[in-house]
Amino acid sequence: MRGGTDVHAPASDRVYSDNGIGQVSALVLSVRIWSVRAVSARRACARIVREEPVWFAVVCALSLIGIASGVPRLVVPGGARVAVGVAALLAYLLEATRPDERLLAVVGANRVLVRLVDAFLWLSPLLALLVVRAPQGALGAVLAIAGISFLPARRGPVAVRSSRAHSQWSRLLSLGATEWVAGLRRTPWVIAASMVAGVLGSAQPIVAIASLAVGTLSVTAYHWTPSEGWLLIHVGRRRARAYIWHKVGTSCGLLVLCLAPILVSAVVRSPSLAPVFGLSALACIHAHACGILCKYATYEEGAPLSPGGTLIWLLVSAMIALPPSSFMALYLLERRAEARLAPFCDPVPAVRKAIA
Amino acid sequence: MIDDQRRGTAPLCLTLDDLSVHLGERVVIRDCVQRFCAGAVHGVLGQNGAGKTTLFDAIFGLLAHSAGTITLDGRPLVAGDVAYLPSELRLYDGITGEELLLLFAMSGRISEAARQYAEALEVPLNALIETHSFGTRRKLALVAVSMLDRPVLLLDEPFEALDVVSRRVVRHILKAEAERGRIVIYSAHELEALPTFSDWISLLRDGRFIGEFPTQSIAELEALLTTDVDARLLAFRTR
Repeated sequence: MRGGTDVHAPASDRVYSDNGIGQVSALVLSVRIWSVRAVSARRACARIVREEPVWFAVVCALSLIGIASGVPRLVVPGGARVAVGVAALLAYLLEATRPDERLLAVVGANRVLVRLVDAFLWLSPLLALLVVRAPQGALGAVLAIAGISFLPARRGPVAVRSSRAHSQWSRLLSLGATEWVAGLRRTPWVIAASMVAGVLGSAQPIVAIASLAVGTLSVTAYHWTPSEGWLLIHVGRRRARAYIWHKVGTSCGLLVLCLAPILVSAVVRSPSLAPVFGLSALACIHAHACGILCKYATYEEGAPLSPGGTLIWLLVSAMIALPPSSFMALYLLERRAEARLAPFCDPVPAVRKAIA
Repeated sequence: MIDDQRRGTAPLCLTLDDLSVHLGERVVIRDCVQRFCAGAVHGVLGQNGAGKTTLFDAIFGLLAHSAGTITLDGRPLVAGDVAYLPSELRLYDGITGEELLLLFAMSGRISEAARQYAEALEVPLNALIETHSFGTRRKLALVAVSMLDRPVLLLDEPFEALDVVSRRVVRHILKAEAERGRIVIYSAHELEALPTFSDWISLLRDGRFIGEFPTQSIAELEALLTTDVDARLLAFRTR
């Protein structure tokens, strides 16, 4: 099934294999209906038709074409179909749990950008599978997503001040991912471009690996701001080690989410190179962790990452080929970072020491 | 927490007992004895270099003290007792004021009091911090720190870079926080900021408290602070 159009396959199969646009459109429509806060799908549809008639008409047309061409294949069981179904379900769940105003708050006031990020963010797993299954339809799917994202941008979501309390989990994530929020607002394009390029170009190992590296570098650069003052560190009310690992864990987790579509599509398309891709991704995450640790190991109030810290980061990143060295580097950096940050995190030890 | 303490008979007090702080070989704070009690606004007045920031850093715990003790109601000061506004601020530029306040909100919700403070101080919560002026950043940080539900509110130069209207609002905020049962201590080097609303004013000179006074006139405080300066000025004129 891989590789797209088979000239010997029945006509309906050929149409279906190339018709990523239809499938994605159907999914986008479903997600949009789900995201509208209405008591029923019918009312949600009515609201979309009222507010975004052009968008609704275009997506419905594309979806109908996709569904019609895919009917002959619906009864055929296959791993790719199951995977697409799982991805669609995942997109449903993610969309259902995420309020629009949160994304608007993160990305900024640009509604077009909100729509684009919204679509690509939640449809990236499906997109990755689509690339694997029908590469020639993938570019069309990307363009379709971008297109249908632009259409209703005029009537995009409006920021609403939320009066409900944020959960403790949400607060912890905010504390750990503040650099991401600030960084994505300023330069979202690098990470977005590297993700799209990595997924679309995953047939070429060098493109996939380069995309992993560029994405990692750009999000690591989010941490190189001099903004984080001890006032905010102090608010965390955590010991230095807990604070540092919370930061590292949150940021690495988000990085994994960003790199996963590239990694999955590259591994599925070139299974024989799976160890290479896996090691590359591991190197990226390791380098990212080292980058954050270097920031705190050379922490000075109000100062960005020092050139010396950057050099250390590059050196330890290169050590990934030798696992004992990399573990040692992480350990040493963490110890130095903890010592550096301790005075800003918890005033008690200094006071107790002085009293003793 | 604060309300519980208020229910007690005696007010909560922060006590400095023979406190000394060294910066390298230099003694910056020497044998300080002072008591700050809840329910009142305490101003610490001193010239540049008198040791105000060093004292505040020592109270907070950023600097270890070489001698003496810092106690809160008879026990050593512990983490989470002090909400400290430092004189130098570093905040994330890429987040909004509301997001910053959410980082400070332990309950996950911005308190109504904080919203009122921000509104009174004319801090735009929906704008990115990078668009704020220096004074607005300080006002935002003051609102954020006041949200921390800790018994000691320690503010280093809270009136710096504020306009006349904002100073007036900040005075009311400090009063309100003191009435909630907090120990409110702030530092200043401008006499005009102090006497009109502080319950107690402590004068700090060369790392020592030279006295604590209830509300005084500006002229009296100025006379207390400038006794040495007058002699130097006289020498300057006769040169």
